Amino acid sequence: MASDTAAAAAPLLSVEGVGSGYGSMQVLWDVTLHVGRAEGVLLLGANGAGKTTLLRAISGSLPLRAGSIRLDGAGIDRLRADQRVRRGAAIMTEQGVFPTLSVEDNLRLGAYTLPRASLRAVMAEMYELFPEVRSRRHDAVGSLSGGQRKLVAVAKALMCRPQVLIMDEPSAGLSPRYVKEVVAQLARVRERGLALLVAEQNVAFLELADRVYVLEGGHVRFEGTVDALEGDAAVREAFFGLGGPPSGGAGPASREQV
Amino acid sequence: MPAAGFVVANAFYPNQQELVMMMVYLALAQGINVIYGFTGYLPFGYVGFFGAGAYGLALSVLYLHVPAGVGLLFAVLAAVAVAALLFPLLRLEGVYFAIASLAAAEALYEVISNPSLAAVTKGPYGINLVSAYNANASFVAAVALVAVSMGIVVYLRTSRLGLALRAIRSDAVSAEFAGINVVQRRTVAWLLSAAMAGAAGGTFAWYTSTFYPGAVFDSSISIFAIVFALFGGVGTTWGPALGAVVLFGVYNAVGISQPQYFQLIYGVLIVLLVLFLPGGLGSLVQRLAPRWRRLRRTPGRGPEALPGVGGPDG
Repeated sequence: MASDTAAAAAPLLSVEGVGSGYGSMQVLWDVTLHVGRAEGVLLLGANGAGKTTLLRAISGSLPLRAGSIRLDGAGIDRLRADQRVRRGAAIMTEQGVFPTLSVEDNLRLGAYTLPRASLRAVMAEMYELFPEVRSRRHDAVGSLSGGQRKLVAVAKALMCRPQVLIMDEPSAGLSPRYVKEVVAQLARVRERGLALLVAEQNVAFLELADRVYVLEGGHVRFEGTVDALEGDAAVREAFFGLGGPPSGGAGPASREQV
Repeated sequence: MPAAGFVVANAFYPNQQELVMMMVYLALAQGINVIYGFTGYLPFGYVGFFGAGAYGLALSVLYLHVPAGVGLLFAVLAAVAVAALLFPLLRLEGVYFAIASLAAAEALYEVISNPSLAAVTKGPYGINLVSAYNANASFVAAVALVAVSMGIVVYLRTSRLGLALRAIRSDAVSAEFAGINVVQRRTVAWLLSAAMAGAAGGTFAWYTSTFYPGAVFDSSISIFAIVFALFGGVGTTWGPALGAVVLFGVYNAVGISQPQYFQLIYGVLIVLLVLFLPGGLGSLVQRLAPRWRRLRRTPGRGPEALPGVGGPDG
């Protein structure tokens, strides 16, 4: 059908001219952003730039004041958060887990929208991907270290077999070792066609990105490939504190180090 | 199992009324468990559903001339209807919800006991169901009540609904992001909990067969049910049952003859509990079980047995 080809060409997730905010304070202004199928998109911005607000608007916990959001060609901005998850947009909030519940219960909840029959297969898959999570599966998530908790959160978010995984600062509170681990696992999952939209300040996540958006003061300040970002001296200075000319010793965002 | 326990106890223990009351409180404590232990809403006005159930049974027997056993269905329906009317309360949280539910129960009491409704509810003059009185049949109903309320909690402990409710209690926003329809699941728990209190109220009304409105809307019924549930431990299967049996037993042993000692014992028990076992008696089992398992599994310490990563409370 013609509509099928149209949908395939259209981006998986498209945010068009979105405005949103809290009470009398408008935080986002006319934000337009696209995530293609199996594409990795990084959302950069300083604290207070509106990254979390944008993710909340996309995930459905904050109503829009302007614009629209489409997933897989269908408008989702009138759906509740749980309905958006069922459409294939998984959200991993900064906390991302239920601390009072066991690891296994957390994963089970991650697969809440799946048919029951597929639960075991998906869980086995996640345990294979995250052996460290498997070894703690009967413990309460609250008793795990911050890094392990984050791995559980990622595994839980992946349990519902999403088309796109939306993550808010997955590196928050993580040691470099776990940042590496999370990035490596996400890279593996991406190979299977998962799209990513990650709000981050940690440059290690550039490895996962095909394209980058930079938010500043609720506006999209920059949109482009990672290479273009690294060439944009002003953006680099503003968000990575990497002043000086691109040829300088500090070097461009050091993707190689990761 | 506890239901069978009550049947056995009935053969040996002379005071059947005490046993029935214990069973009624067990069901109420489990009802509190369902709404508070699984969703975090603490209804101080829980007795409203109990009273609604008592009147549901009484009025259906008096006016529709149904057998009292069928009247139990009307008891459940009445409580569920009240709960449905109170849906908006679920928008409130914490203390506000607790107070609002208390006010709602008081309002219901005032309506039912109002003399100008005496033609329908018998107003303040109370209910007389002597024609339906049947100690043995209503005892059986109470045993069934215990079995069903235990069954509901076991179901919640093991089912997807229960998992969803525990997730909502842990973090409602994250639960929504897991794909759970938070409002709908909460509503189910609320109605279920109300139905349990309604059945308890109906059973009580059937067994006692004469009562004043003040007796079935007494706010100390709410308090007792909440204390029993918390004492035993909410969120567990056995906690509230244990709490009801132990504390109601203490109440009967000491409370009626020497109320001052009873209050002393209650006070000390509750203080000890809050200080040393905030999760209730049931949490003692939960806390010891993993340690026991670990002890049996590995005499030498594996990486899992590191100090400080023991309990969920760490």
